[in-house]
Amino acid sequence: MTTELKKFRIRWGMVIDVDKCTGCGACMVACQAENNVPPENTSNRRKSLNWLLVYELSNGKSFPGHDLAYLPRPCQQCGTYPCASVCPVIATDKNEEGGIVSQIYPRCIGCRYCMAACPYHARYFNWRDPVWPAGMEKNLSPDVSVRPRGVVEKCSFCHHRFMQAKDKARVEERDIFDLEDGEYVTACAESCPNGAIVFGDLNNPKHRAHDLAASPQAFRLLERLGTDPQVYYLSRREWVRAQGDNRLPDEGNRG
Amino acid sequence: MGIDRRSFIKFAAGAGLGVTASPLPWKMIDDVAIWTQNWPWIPSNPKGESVWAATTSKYCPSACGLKVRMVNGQAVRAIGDADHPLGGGLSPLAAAEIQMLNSPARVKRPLRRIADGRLEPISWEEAEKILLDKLGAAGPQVACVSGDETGSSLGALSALLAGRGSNQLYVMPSDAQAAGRAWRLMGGKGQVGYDLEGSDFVLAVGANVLESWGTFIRNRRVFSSSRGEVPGASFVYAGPVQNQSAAVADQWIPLRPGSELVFLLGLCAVLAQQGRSVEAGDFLSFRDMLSGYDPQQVNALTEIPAQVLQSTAAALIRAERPLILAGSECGYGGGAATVMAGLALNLLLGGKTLRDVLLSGPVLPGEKARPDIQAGDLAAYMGKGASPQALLFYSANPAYALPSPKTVREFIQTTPFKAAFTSFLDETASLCDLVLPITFSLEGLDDLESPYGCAKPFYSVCRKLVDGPAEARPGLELILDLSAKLGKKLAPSAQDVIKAKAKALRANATALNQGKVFEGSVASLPGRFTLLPEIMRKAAESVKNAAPTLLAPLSRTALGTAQSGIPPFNAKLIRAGELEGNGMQALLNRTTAYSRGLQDGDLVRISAGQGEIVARVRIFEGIVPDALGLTMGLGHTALDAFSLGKGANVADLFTPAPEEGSGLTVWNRVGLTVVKV
Amino acid sequence: MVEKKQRDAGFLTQAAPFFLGLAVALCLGWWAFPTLLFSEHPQPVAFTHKSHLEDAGQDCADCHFFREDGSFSGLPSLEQCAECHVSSIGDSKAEEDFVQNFVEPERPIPWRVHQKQPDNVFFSHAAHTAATCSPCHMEYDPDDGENKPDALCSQCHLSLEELDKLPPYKENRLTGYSKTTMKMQQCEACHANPEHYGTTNANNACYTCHK
Repeated sequence: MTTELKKFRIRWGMVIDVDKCTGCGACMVACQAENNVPPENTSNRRKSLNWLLVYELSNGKSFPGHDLAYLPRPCQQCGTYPCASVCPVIATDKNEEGGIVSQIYPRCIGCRYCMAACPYHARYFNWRDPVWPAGMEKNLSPDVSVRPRGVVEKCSFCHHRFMQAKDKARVEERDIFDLEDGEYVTACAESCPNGAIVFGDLNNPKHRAHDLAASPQAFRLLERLGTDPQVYYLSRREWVRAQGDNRLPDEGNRG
Repeated sequence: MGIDRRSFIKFAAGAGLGVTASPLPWKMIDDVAIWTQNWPWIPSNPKGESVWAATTSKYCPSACGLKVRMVNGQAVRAIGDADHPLGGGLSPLAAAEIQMLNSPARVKRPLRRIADGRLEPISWEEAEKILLDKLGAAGPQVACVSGDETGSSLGALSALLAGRGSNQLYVMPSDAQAAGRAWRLMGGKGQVGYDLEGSDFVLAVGANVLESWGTFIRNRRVFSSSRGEVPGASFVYAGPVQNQSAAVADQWIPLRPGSELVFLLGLCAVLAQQGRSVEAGDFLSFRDMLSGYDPQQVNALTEIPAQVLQSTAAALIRAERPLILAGSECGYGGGAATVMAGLALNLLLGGKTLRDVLLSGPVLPGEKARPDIQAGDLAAYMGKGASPQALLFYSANPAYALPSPKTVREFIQTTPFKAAFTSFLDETASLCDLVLPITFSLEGLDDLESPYGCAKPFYSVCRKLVDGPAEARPGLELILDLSAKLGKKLAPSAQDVIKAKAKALRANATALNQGKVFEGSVASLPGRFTLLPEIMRKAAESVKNAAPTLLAPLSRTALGTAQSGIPPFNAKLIRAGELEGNGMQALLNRTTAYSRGLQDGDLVRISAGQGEIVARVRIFEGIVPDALGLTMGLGHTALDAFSLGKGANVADLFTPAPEEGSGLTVWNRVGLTVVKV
Repeated sequence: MVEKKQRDAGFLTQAAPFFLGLAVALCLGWWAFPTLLFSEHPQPVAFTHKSHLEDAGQDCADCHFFREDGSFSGLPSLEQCAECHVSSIGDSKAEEDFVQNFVEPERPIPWRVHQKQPDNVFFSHAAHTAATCSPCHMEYDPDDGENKPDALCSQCHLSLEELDKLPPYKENRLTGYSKTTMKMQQCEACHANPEHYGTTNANNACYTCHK
């Protein structure tokens, strides 16, 4: 179920160039460190938390026609937010300039409706209390609270950095809704040496993300669900775009 | 009036009403709710002012630039530094560098092996006494292995050994060592450098240029800028697996494992045939040698289609400033011949993107220069039946990373005395009699000079930014101190070594100590080269009798270095194609698997030489036929829970063989026997 | 009549336990509980705002200022205090104790912060300045022709600038927070008030106040 589209003056968004991503995982590590997501000693993803997860895609062809691509998946910050609309306690909503789907961890009752509602598997449940190897809790980031067991969490587009950027703008007496391109970027975008992730205001023509999102190579994940995500992907490879929309083999191309 | 049942009920009713009408229950509910939000076992955020400091990562092998954020004296985040000549983002290791300061695998105090085989904590005084006694007794019979090629610690170790009358200092094998050998043999003065920034066509042969080869964070920054609105350099990757570099390259040229050299010689042959030449005394014999590698012959040897060779050569000729980067898939063991063929190809194309990066050279009495230290081959030394009385390991883990680790372990174990200077309790440290904790990146004064791959002389001082474990000592300082106590004073302090280095490089020591990095100017290329075709020819011979199944090792930076193992934050990054549960995955393409009677999910025993590992077949179409892909960096038998018991160590399968002429040991054509279990 | 009176008197006697219970519970709920719920702690240093402002001629912003990155300094660090108090500059016992207990051993001052918020709260001081609130809430003072931002701070913080002695810190035994700390309800007084939408940038999205 989705609600009607909310419009905002600013729409923070990401444009992820799949053709630039080597799948190294620096973004995932930077995200964990920035957002105090606890490490997990397993490659089993059923119970580990991954605000950002890099998927490996394959075109399914045999050697030598095989091709692969890596697709980082943060929260898509949907315009019609299927997750927030099902929350029974309003512990998550989309109500702020910028369009980031926000959360209050202490209010979450752990019912996990939002997880079931999210078509992107971007939400994660804390099955256990977070544990860092002894001593590593000293290196926690100051910016994001540590979530206890029993609550759902997801990528916040490093919202605290938005707040910090706004505070800086306020102290310098600038307009907080006209931040320069690059003044507020997420930890993943900042970490990527390949520049595969471009973050910015999709509504602001001065931001690079604005133009990139309008590129003919841009697509969004499961676009036909009508979720209106704020995360765009770029690929010049048709098969990547087709998988992004989960097109069936006998379906035609988008037209 | 007595208290009867009736009046008690009345009292209770009154009390109930009164309590309800007071704030007590409501405040209690509210406070209990708040109380449940702050369990004492949930860690709290640090609070305070953020302080930033710039430095260069000593942990990430790419030497990327870092900006470290500290709050209340604790490091909390490291972010990339776009202004750093080798920076511009983070590797998955640099991103976890801060957390590695408190890795469970850290060595926090000196340890000594006791009678029952365990390691027991001792004081520094005791540890130093044992070390000095043993080193004193060993005299010149001491050898040392260093895993840090870029720090002044390497030179200091050579000076320490010189004081003892020994020249047995070895670096851990690497592409840097192979290239160092190649460049030295061909007539280079310093270290070979590559002007990626100035190139418009990058051909990476074997070298996983966007994941693990050279200064890979800088490589990736250059790659990133090439994909801008104005298209920049083309990237072509040639290698056995569709790896990280191949995934984004403009073209992937599949090569059978170990056939990089022949591919490069094939390209050289096409160019030589078109009349291109190199200013080299032995160019004619090189050209004669190339006549055995025309496209048809290369095709017969390696199944590379002649037309691929022709079109690649044409693209190289079309490019204004092409650059060929030759290396090994797993980062070491590729030998010097492949790099030499790569350099020869660069030179045939004009060598406009090659650089001679001059190093600072010795600054301490008795110190050896880096290329001279690189001339020694560790695998050969350990295999030749040498018998030192004492062995020192400095940030090196040969018991994990060298080929046939079993032999290496035996070598270490039979040495009467061995000590490890290390930050992590790795496989090698676990075999030592004495383990001495040294500081990790950011914790102590260290430095970093010209990592392999950089285009200009580079020097950075890695300052102490945070406190390490109370008993960990900065490595360089420790070496100087030891040498002085053994009777040879090298320098008063680490700071003096750094000053001397800065002076030798004509860098500003004050600026360096404030976190600024130094970039020097480029020396002109030698006017005349030596191509040594004989080395290449002999190395290429081995391609002819390749085994039916060849090993294709996959490098993955996220899985840590040999010394640190898998960082806790990176355990989640392991993909299903690398590890399922804790079981190793063997990548084969469908044709290869079927022709060997294997299916997806089959358990197989893979053996080579004395080594053997068990893995599960995983069909992956991004690998050449007759090759089996295995991920490096797994199968640790020491360190911490994040590294232990995960998959198998690919080094177990490496079968070392000598490379004639270069004095190096290679393991780039490993034939495998694959048996279904 | 007589019977009824007797019945009334009987009712009062009979209802006495009820009222007794009510009275006891009310006392407990309104007086004993609130008193017992909080423990009182003195501040580690007998700091006086008054002497710093009046005698030393300091300004609020000398210690409580915005950093360049937009964050708020909050309480001054020991280093800042030690800029003047590297050794005793006056002759008060309080200062002597301070220098002896904190400056000399370089021990950070464990201030008990009345407005300490949980980790999950993000409060931006920069957003709650006169620039945001004063257009509506500050009265224009014709004498000096300016709005007074001081009053804005005391909307949430205790007014201490006139005090010679710091008030005791009252800690909730159950939650561990200060008695005077701000609760979400107070935040919502503005953030959930539609009158603030459009006139300020306030809104009631979770992340506006939570991290």
